[in-house]
Amino acid sequence: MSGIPQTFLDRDVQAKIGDQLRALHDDIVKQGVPDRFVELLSQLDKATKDVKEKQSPDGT
Amino acid sequence: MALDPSLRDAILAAIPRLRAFAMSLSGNVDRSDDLVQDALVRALANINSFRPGTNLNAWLFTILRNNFRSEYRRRRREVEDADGGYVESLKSQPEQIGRLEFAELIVALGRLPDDQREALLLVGASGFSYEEAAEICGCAVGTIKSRTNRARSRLAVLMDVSGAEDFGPDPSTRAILNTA
Repeated sequence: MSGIPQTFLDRDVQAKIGDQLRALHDDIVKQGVPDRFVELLSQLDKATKDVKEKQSPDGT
Repeated sequence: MALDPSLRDAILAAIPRLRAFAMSLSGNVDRSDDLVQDALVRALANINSFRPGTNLNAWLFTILRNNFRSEYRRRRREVEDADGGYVESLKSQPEQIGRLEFAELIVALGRLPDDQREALLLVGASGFSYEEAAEICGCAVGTIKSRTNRARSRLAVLMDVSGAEDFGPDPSTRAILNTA
C-alpha cells in the first residue's frame, strides 16, 4: 500500500495543488466570523456563567 | 466566572480557519457551518479540559475533526451525496463559497479517503505542522506524512493537472468550470 511513488509527481503539479488548497482556504478565511457565531459564542458564554453561578453555594 | 475574555477572543479568532477546514472537509457550505457550530458548543461545554498555554487551534480542530468523523459515518447512509451534489451546492451559493473555480478541487477532495483528506487539509491548507496534524488526528507523525503524500498524488490524478484525461472531471463539471 505505498500508493503512487513520490517520483511520479511533477513539482509544478504539486505546487499548483498547494496553491489551490491555500487559495480555497484563504477565500473562506477572508469571510471573517459570520454573525451567527458571534451570537452563539455570547449565548454559550452566558450559559457557562449562569451554570457556574447556580453551582456556587453562596452565589452573588 | 465567565469565559476568560482572552480565551473568548482566541476562540473567535479561530472561527474563520475552522470554517475553512470544515468546508474543505465536508464539501458542503451548510454542513460545514453546522460542524463549526457543533465544535464550538462542545468546546465551550468542555472548556475546563483545555489547558491554558497549550495550542488552542489544535484543540478546536481536534474537536471538529472527531465530530466530523463520527457524524459522517452516521450520516453517510442517510445522505447519499453524489459527486455532482457538491458542484450543485457551489452553483447555488457562489457568494458563500467564493469562486466557482474551486469546484473541481472540492469534488476531487471529496473523492479522497477521509484520513488522506484531513491530513492534506491540515498540513497543506490550514498550515499545521506534521506534528500538530498528528496530534489532531491521533496518529504518528510518519502516518500523517505518508497520508499527505498519498493525498497529493491522488489529487494530482483526480484533478487532471497531470494530463490524465480519463481521470478528469466529467463534461458537465468541465462545462461549469469553464463558465467561471
